[in-house]
Amino acid sequence: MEKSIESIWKEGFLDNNALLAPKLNDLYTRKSIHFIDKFTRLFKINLIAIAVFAGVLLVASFVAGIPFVGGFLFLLFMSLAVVGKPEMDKLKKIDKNQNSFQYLSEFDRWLKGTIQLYTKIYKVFYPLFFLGLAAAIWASGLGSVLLELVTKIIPDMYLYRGIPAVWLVTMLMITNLLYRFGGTIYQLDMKLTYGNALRKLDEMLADMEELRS
Amino acid sequence: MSSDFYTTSIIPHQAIIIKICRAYTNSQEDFEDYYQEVCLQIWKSNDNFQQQSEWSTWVYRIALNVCLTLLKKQKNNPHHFASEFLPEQAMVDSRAFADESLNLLYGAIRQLSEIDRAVIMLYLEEKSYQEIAEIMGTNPTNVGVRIKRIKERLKKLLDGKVN
Repeated sequence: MEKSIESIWKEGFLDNNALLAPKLNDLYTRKSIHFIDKFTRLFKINLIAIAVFAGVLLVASFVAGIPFVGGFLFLLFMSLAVVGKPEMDKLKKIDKNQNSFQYLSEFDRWLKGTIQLYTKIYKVFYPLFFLGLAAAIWASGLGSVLLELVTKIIPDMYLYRGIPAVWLVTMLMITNLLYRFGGTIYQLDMKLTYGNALRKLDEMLADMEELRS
Repeated sequence: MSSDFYTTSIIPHQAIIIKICRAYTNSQEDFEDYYQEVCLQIWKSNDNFQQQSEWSTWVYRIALNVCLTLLKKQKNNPHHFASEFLPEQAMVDSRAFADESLNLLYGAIRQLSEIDRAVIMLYLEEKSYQEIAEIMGTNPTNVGVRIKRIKERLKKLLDGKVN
């Protein structure tokens, strides 16, 4: 007589070996490797994007006739990529054969170290970048247009070596602010770019801590 | 995951988790991945359980959702799972139950659509139409009609293979 699917199901699972559960062990290792590989790719893309942007800036500055400012900005951006390269190498050296907790912890240490290093760099980078931009505006001819406009509004304005003192003071104030808050701006930028990945890392480490306890 | 939680909240429902995971995988490696992910997700979503339904219903729902999500991910990104590294002939289910009829039935179930697989598993686990409807987010009448159709299809698939 033909068996119904219900009885095949019931009788088939009477054998206890049919329902052996696997051990809970390997998932986090795979997840960790997958996560870090993804982060490494993001970091690499970021470095390449910075280098490409620096090149574009340099070419654009030649076209705009402000090669010195362009050269300065090129060097500034390239310094970010150059500093990132050894960091990237360190990241690649993290041993994938250790257990997932050690692996992720080591990655977390690397990440914190890199963020600390870049926070210091960006404290200087943002003000210098801003000064570069201000110089570019001034040197591109836009400066004389601005000067003309401002002179019409304030005819007796004090000029320092042909540059309005108000402009200089404002630029210095903004530069000072950028120096003070450069680190914070960088950390905000990090949160925007890698926020999800960073949250995931914290969650995974917390989960693992709980698993170990 | 604490061993207490595993013992009290997962082990009593382990059988259905295993059955569901097997229905959505073709290799032991993938099966282990699915099983572990389901257990982890049950543990992680423990805080969201609001006791509006039975714990078992909650477990079934998570198990099915996780399997469907992983299946989708696996289709989009085969690198994530072990079966990608297996030769093609190994993609056919490498596991076998002692009961040959059960092997054939599982083979037939795997040929169903993803949703039909979920419905028939719950039916075979003797869940009521109401409970199945709750888990699948539909109504009991639809469940009844669907089960009738699935059973007919399974019968066709098994015809000539099971005596």
